[in-house]
Amino acid sequence: MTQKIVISKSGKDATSETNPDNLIFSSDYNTLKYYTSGYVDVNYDEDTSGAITFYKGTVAHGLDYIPFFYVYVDIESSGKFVPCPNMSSFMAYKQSFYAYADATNINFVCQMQGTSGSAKTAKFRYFIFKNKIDL
Amino acid sequence: MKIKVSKSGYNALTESNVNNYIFHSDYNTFKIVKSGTGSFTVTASSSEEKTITHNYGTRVGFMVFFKHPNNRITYMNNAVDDASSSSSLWIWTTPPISNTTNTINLKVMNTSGTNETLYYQYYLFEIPL
Repeated sequence: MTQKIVISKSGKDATSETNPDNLIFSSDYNTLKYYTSGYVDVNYDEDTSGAITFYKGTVAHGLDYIPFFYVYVDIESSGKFVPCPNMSSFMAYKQSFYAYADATNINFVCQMQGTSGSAKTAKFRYFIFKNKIDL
Repeated sequence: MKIKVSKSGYNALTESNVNNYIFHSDYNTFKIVKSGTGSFTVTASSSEEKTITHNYGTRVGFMVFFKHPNNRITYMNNAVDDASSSSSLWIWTTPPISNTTNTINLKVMNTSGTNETLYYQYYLFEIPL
């Protein structure tokens, strides 16, 4: 007999319930294991004279594998966070904010292409989990 | 009856801030109900619809990580480009990636003149949609 740890929601029988929606915890199912989080500021200029220009920040994930991660960005450090990626194209500019991982870092990119605008700072908010990406 | 595991330095008998618990049976956990890996080939200079079959049978929350040809990894339709390297593959259209009861669907464009491989790992979460 396979041993399990199961905690059911109130009113459900942990010994027989099979719907994961009715369980608070079940050792049958993996969970995201929180590792670390933080902020990275990336300065960028909206006016790139029309050239595609990358502005990048990094944080070392410190793991010997690439972890599950998730990133939000506050595009103008105004307190409004949106999920990455965030892409916009409006009149004189194209802007993309996104994140990717390599063997060492989580990388935060502001990709700009514009002929107007000003210098700004994007605040990236990252969450890294211990879960390994098996790729 | 409750089962609680507090973070180091906090008293599980008295702590009232849920963020100071590693586990608390009053709160549901973010369960991964299924995951899997695979890959597909994207034909040179083409835009193709791709399907990841998971056969879970119910629409639930999902996340897909991709390894691009430049060996950078990201999730959903995040790009992996910067001044030093770029990917020839783009996951695009609206919505860029969708999930149904049994499949995850996406559209990917290969801007290079050679066939490319896109590797993926999907996660399904206990979040009914």
